[in-house]
Amino acid sequence: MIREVIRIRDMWFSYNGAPVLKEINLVIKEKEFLALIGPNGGGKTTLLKLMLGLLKPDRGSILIFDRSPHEVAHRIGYVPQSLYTNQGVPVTALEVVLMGRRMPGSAWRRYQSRDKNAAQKAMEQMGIWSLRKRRVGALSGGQRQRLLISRALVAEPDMLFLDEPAANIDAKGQGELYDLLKALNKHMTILLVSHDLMVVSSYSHAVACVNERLHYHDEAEITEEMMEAFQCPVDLIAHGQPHRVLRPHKE
Amino acid sequence: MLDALQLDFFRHAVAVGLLASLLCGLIGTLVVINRLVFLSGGIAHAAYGGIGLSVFLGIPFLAGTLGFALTSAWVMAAITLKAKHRSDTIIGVVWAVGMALGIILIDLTPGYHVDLMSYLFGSILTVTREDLYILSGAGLFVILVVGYFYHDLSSMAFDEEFARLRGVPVEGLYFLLVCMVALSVVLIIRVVGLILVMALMTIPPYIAEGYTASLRSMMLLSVCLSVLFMTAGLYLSFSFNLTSGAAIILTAAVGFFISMGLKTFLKGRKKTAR
Repeated sequence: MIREVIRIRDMWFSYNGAPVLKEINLVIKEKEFLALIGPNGGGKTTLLKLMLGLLKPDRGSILIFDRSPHEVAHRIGYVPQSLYTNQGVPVTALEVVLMGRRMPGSAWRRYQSRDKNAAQKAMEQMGIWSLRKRRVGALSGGQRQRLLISRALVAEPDMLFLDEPAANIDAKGQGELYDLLKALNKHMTILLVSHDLMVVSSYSHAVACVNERLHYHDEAEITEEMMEAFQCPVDLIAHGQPHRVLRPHKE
Repeated sequence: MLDALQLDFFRHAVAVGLLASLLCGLIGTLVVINRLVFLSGGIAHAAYGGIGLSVFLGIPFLAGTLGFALTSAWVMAAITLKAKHRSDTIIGVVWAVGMALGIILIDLTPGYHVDLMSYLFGSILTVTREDLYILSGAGLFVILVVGYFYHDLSSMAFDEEFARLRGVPVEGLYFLLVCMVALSVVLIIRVVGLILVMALMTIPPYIAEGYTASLRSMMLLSVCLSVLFMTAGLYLSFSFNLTSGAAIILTAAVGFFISMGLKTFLKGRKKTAR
C-alpha cells in the first residue's frame, strides 16, 4: 500500500483577520508529484508554510509523516522564492548550501567532511559548484535560484517543496531543472508551486488549484470547473496554448 | 602617544578602546547584517531613561542603564517579532519615551548636578579599572556566544524561515542577539556617549562589508577598523585637546569616506578594464 505522507483535514487559516485559506482538505501519497496552481494571493505559499509548520492553522489539522509539521520540518527540503533571502549577509554560495545541513539541536556542531561532500554533490547537480566561493550577493537571479535548490537537496530530504523554482532561470535551465525533479521524484514526494502550465501538464501527476479553497484533481489537467469556480489558472490565456493544458492525455 | 602611554588614565583609555572595538566589530556586524541599526539606536536612547532612574534612585549608573536598556530591548524585540511592518514606529516611541523619562526623573531629583555631557558624548579618559574589568567580561561573553552560535547566527541572518526549518532556535537567538546589542550599547556609551555609539557600531562593519565574503572575515575586519579609528581618535584627542568621543567618530567618518572613494575608484577601474 502506498503511504499517505501529507494529510490536511478541514484546515482554515486567516491573516490579520482576513481569511486566506478555507476548509482545506488534502491527502498526498508518497512519491506523488503535485503541482499547486492558483492566482497571486490565492494562498499557495501560505499553504506551503502551513505544511512546514512556519504558520499555525486557525482550525483543523495538518499531519506530515503522521506527525505535526514542526516535528518533521527538517525532513522536508524547502525552496522559497529567492527574494525573501537577505543578500546583504556576507556568505559564500558554499556556506549557504551548508546551512541546509544544520540539524535541530546542534548549534555547536561544525561542518564535517561528509557535509562538504553532500554540498558538493548538491551543487554539482545544479551546475553551480564552480561558484562555491562567490559571495551570494554577487550571484545572478538564476544562479541564486539554483543555489536555493541545492540548499534544499543537500539534506537528502524525503519530500521537496518548491515555490516557483523556475523563476529567473532560463529555458535551458528550466528543462534541466524539471528533468532533475522528475528523477528525484522516483524516491521523494514533490510539491511544486508553478505558473508554468507546460510543467503542470508534462511533469506532475496531480494538480491542486488554490484560491482560498483548494480543488484537487488527481490527473495533470485543469478542468473547466477549476477555471470557472476557482479562477484557475490566471495565466492560462496569456500562455496561448490552452488546449494542450486542458487535455494533456488525449493525443 | 608613547609619552601619553606613561599616564595611567591614558593606558586605561587605550585598553577600554580596544575592548570596545571588539564589541563594536562583533555586535556591530550582526546589527548591520540583521538591519537592527534603528533598533540599536532605540536601545541607546532609551538607555537615557536608565541614567535618570539611576540618579533618582541613587543606584550605580551601570546597573540603572543596563537594566533599563535590557528591558526596553526586550520590549522592542518582542514587538518587532510579532509585527515586523510596524516595528519602526514602535522603536521610535520607545526611543523617545526612554529619553523623556530620563529627563523627567532627573528634574525630580533634588540637587542633581552630574555632568550630563559625559553621557551624551562619552568620557573615555575618565574610565576606571572597574570599567576595564566589566568590559573584559562583556567582551569574553560576546566572543563565546557569537562563537558558539556562529553558524546559527549566519543562517538566521540569511534566511530566517529556512533557519527555523533546520531547527535553529530563531526566536531565542533573536532575543539573545538583542540582549547582546543592549549590553554592548550601554558599555560603549561609556566610551563615546549615547549620541555617537551608533556611528561606532555601524561605520566599521559597513566598510568591512564591502571587502569580505564571509561573516567571520567581516567581523575581523570590523574589529581591526574599530581599533584603528579608536586609537587614531584618541591620539588626536590627546594631542589637540579635543573631545575624545567626537574625535573617534570623526576619524571613523574619514575612514568611511576614504572607503567610499576607494570603492568608486575600483568600480571605475573594473569598467575600463573591460
